[in-house]
Amino acid sequence: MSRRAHQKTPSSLLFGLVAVFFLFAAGGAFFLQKGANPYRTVEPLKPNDYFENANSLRGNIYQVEGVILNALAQNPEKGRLFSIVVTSESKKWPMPIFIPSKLRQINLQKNQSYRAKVRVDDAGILVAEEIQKS
Amino acid sequence: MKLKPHLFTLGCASVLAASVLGQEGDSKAATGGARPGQMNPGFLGRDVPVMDPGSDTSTFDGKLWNMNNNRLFRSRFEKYLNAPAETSEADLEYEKTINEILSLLSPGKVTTANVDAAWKLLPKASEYRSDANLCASMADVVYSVWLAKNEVARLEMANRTLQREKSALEWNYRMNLGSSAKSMTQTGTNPTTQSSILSPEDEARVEPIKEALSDVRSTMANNKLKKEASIVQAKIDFQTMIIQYFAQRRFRHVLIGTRFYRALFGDGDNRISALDQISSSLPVDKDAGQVKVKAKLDPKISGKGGSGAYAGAGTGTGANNNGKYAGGGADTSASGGGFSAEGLQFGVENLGVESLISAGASGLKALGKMINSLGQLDALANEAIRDVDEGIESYKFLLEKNELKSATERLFETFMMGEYMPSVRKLSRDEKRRALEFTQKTNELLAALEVNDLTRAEDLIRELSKTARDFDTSKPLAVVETAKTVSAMHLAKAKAAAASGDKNTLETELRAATEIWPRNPALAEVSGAIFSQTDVQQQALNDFDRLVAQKNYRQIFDDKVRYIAATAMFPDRQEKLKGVLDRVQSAEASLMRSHELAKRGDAAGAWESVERGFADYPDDPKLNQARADYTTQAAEFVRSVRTAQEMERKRQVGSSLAWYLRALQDYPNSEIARDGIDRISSEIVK
Amino acid sequence: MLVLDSIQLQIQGEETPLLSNISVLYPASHFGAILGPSGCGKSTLLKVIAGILPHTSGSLFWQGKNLENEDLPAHQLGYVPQFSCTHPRLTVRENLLYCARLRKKGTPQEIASTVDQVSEETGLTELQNRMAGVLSGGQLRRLGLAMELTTQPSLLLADEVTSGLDPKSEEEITELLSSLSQEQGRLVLLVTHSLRSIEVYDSITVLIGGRLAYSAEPRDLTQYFQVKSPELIYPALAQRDPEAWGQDWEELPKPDGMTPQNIFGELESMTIADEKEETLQLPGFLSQSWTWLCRRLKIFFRDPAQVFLQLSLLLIFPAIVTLFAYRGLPEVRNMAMSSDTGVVEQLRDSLAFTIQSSRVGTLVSGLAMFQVILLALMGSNNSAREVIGERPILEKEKLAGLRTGSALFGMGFFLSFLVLAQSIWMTLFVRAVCQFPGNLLDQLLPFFFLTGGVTALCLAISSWASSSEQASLGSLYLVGFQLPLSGAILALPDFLGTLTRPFISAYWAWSCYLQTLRDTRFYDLVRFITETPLAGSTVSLWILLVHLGLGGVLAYFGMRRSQWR
Repeated sequence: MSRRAHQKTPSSLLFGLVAVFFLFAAGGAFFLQKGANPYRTVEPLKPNDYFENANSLRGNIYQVEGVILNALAQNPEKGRLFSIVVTSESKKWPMPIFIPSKLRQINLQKNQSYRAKVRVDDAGILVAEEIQKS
Repeated sequence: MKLKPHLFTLGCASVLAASVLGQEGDSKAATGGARPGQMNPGFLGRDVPVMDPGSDTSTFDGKLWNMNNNRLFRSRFEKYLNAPAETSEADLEYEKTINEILSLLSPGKVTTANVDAAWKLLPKASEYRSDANLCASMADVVYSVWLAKNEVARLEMANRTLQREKSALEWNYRMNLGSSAKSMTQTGTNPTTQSSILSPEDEARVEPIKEALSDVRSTMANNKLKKEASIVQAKIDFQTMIIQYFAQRRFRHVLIGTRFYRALFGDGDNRISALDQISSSLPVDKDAGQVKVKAKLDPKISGKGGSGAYAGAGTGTGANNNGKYAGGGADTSASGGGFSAEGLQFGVENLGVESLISAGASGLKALGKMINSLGQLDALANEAIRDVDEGIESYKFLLEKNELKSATERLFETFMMGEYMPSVRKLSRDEKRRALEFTQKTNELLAALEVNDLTRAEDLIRELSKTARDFDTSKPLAVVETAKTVSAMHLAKAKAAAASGDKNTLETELRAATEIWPRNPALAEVSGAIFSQTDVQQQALNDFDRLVAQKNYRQIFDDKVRYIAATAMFPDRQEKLKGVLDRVQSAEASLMRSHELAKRGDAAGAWESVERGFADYPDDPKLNQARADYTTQAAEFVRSVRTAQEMERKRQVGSSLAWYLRALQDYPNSEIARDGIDRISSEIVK
Repeated sequence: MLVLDSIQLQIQGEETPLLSNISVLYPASHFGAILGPSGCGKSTLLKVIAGILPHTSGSLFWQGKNLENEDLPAHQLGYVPQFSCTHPRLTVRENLLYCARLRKKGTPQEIASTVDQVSEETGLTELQNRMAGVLSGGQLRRLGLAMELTTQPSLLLADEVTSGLDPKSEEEITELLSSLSQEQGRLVLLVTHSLRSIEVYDSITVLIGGRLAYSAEPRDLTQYFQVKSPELIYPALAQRDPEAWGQDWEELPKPDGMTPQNIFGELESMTIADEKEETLQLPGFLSQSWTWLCRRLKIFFRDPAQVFLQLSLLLIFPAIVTLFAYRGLPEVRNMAMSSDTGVVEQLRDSLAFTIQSSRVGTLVSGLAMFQVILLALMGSNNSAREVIGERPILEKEKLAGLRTGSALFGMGFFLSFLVLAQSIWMTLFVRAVCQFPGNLLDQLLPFFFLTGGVTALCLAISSWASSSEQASLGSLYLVGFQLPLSGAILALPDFLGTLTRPFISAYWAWSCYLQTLRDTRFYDLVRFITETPLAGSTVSLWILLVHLGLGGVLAYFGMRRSQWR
């Protein structure tokens, strides 16, 4: 124990502290980042599988994140059909997604990124069950 | 073309009048004072044919007709021209006999003996063929006159006897009356009117006398009537014969007749009463109508493009004739010209006995008005003989001058007037030959023009102009040239129509050209060309059908001009061709567009363009090639589209839509992808 | 009793030790002077005794306890440095009061009476309400002394407190110190080079070249050095090598007083004294913090230039931001979303949208980043000199018993006022003028954390800096690198971005601020134009908090370590 007036901080302690902080930051960030995705428990959709055979995925539920490309069609009673671009493995996959009319409260804009929980329906179309901006 | 012989177109009953008029024909000077002023319509009215040599028209029976040409007379004239000269011994003897008769009967020589001698020669003259028994009938008539004269002498004798008886009776009657005889003589001419003043005793006493006297008187009157009737009958018979001979243009027989007449009826009464009597005695049936001499102008050539001068003639004359030509004329009236080679068609309508008699009666009546005495008739006959002789002379002169046209005209006139005159008859065959040739040529020319054989006509015109110095070639040549020009123009139009496939015009023009000049060599050429075209067309059509069956549309397209021409008249094939061309054109457009796009590096766009064309025309090799090329160049896009289509077929809606979207991402202009997306999308939200 | 046994101080890399083999013994109730020419190591020796400089060998004993093992309590040590440790913008009394409150527990009355007492003792009673800044040198020395006396220390070390003073003042001070040494068995050591009236001292210690040349009563001094008057000692010292002087003094036989028995006897007597003085306790952590904060606030508000500067920044910076959108944010026209339109229309629409995006997106992103950067600038301005500017006082006060944590806490409190004002005003003003949508609190939080974080980090820099310039430069760099490395203007390469982003507070604040616009089109437009991924708000806040914490911890350690001139 050295004297009070010339207290020193060992650099190892300092670096250790900084490292701990970073670990803390990274851990927290990681945890929080994960927490930002409400559908993190849902398996992400693999675009390649969908392109190969959408029918084989029927009934499954996935999460998908993509940018709205265009409105393809709409029916006031049933909902709206959009095309979105999903980026996967640094490739862009355009896909159709159907937003049922029950989700009409969300404002869907072109070129905007959304994350959605989707179910593959009988026709092989992705039907959004929940959707939010990402 | 016009030939200008003065043809006296005569109806059966109007021969006399025509002769009279014909006499003054061309040679007004020659006709002298005997010529009536025919220009005065009031003179002859409309019943006698009146010929106007200035316009070559003749007026008869209220009709005006042209008489430039007449087949009837023409043929007769030709027959004459072909006949040998009547210079045989018989002909000469006959001539001699006739001259002898004439000299025996010539004025100043007339004695009973001469008349008898002449009468005896008549049967001899009638033995010759060319006399046609005219002299025999004249002998009969003279004999009957003599018989009539004997009857008259017998009746005169009887009347002298009756006169005596009458005188005796009158005496008796006067005796019986006594006191009243003087007054009775005063009223002798009318004893019946005085009878009232006679006493009944007288009445009874003179009655038988009166009756006898009356019988004698009536018998005498009858005899007198009989005598006169007999003479008059003989005269009329005689006059009738003479007039008939005149009508037959047997002018020398007329002279013989008149001389006999004068010798037989020395009463100096030369007045012709026969015509009136004949005509009034003829049973005229008004209802039988008149013999109508119909003349039609016959346009032999109708053409177009001629000068305005012909237009009137062409349309005016052609109109009456034939609807077809009239149509042609009307058709081309816009071109402002027409042409017709005029001819005259002649015919007799309503020809029957009644109408003939009726016509004869009226003719005779007319003649009666004109000719009052036999002297006139005699003079006319002499004048005609002289005229004919002059005509022959004139002919011979013109022949020498090589003016064949005029010569022939003169000869024709002369022939028409004095067909049976010795001078005409004796004209040698050689002398007639040239006129014949000329006539034949002109007839040929007319015929050629009639059938529109312009080449032949042209040759004939040239020939004629060589042989006949006075032949005017300008008009016929103009006609020929005009016709040729018009024909050529029609042909040109036909060619153009053939080229453009206008079948109707081609037909019309070809027909018009053919009608104008049927033997036009160019016509054969053109129609040949058109026919060969037809062959080519057939070949093209065969090819077309084959290529269509093979779906080798591109070859059709490459040779489209040929097939368009060939199918012009086949609406079904035309429709098919249109479809083919549309297909190839769309394929071609696809290809061009794709090349453009490929040049810009837009392989996907190029492929899509080709693909769209390919859908319309999958068998096109060029499209196939381009499709294959671009498929490799835009492999990713093509794979997307194909997969999308495949998935769509399998009803994998989601994947299909995704693939379409991907294709659209690869090529944002892709219509295939867009259509696919629209199709599936609308299905999804349905 | 203070015993120095063979104290040696060797600086690494220096051949000659600053102090060499110094063994001295000072009894309690003693007034000793340490003399020597400049650079002889007198102040160094004093600092070694105070514990400010660590000796490399030898031992120090205070009242029988080896100070290596157990440092003497802060209140027992009074150290009056050469420099002034007063706050010029506080009055003499305030200085004394805050000093007393920091060093000893007690009611305000007790503190006040203590202050009155020391004022009385040091003769500052009449100067109580005078600003320290206007005091004369002697008065300042006396104030310094008075401040040390508030804790009634047993060991009072005065480093050249008489230097540069007029002879009268010097005499007065010396008299004062002499009288102080008579109280409560207090040992007073005075470093001086004044050789006048040396008879006042109980002992005189002469150092030459780091060696002990003499340490005994003043009366033997002239004799030992064989000079007629004490004034002639220095020339005499210069005659010989310091080694020789040291050697001579070592070889000299020592008086009896310096025996272990004496030492232990002394130890016993001091134990009694210790028990007696245990009643004086350090104030609590929060109490110290509070005192510190109060004093800092008072100093802050007494400094118009500081206030003006802060106010200017507070007002001008947001105004600068709003210049770019004083009419409010532009309206966003959305893209037509229809597949019916042709490609060309879509492209045109897309182009229009892109142009708009780049314009509006850049504007919004830029406005956010501007706010962030200006706040960072203000944050750095807050704290860049906060520690280093007052470092000697801090060190002095630490020596006198101020806890580093308390100082930091008080400082943090003070700074958080600034940070709060700055972030709130920036958020409110820009939001109001530019009509930013979004939740106000959500927008305030990242800004507050950012400003706080930057302030903390700059505080750390300040606490670790060896000079104000260094601290300023460090803070400047810290802020300066925020903008380019945030990726808000130009996206960094992915790996580099990932690597640097965690350190860049601006990025997180910017992201977090933009996240509050998430429900608006502005967010999309910004996302459209920037390739840098936007972090989520919670993560951003977390990272900012980590930055803040890191800054605090680093500042703590920076402040905790000793940094004497």
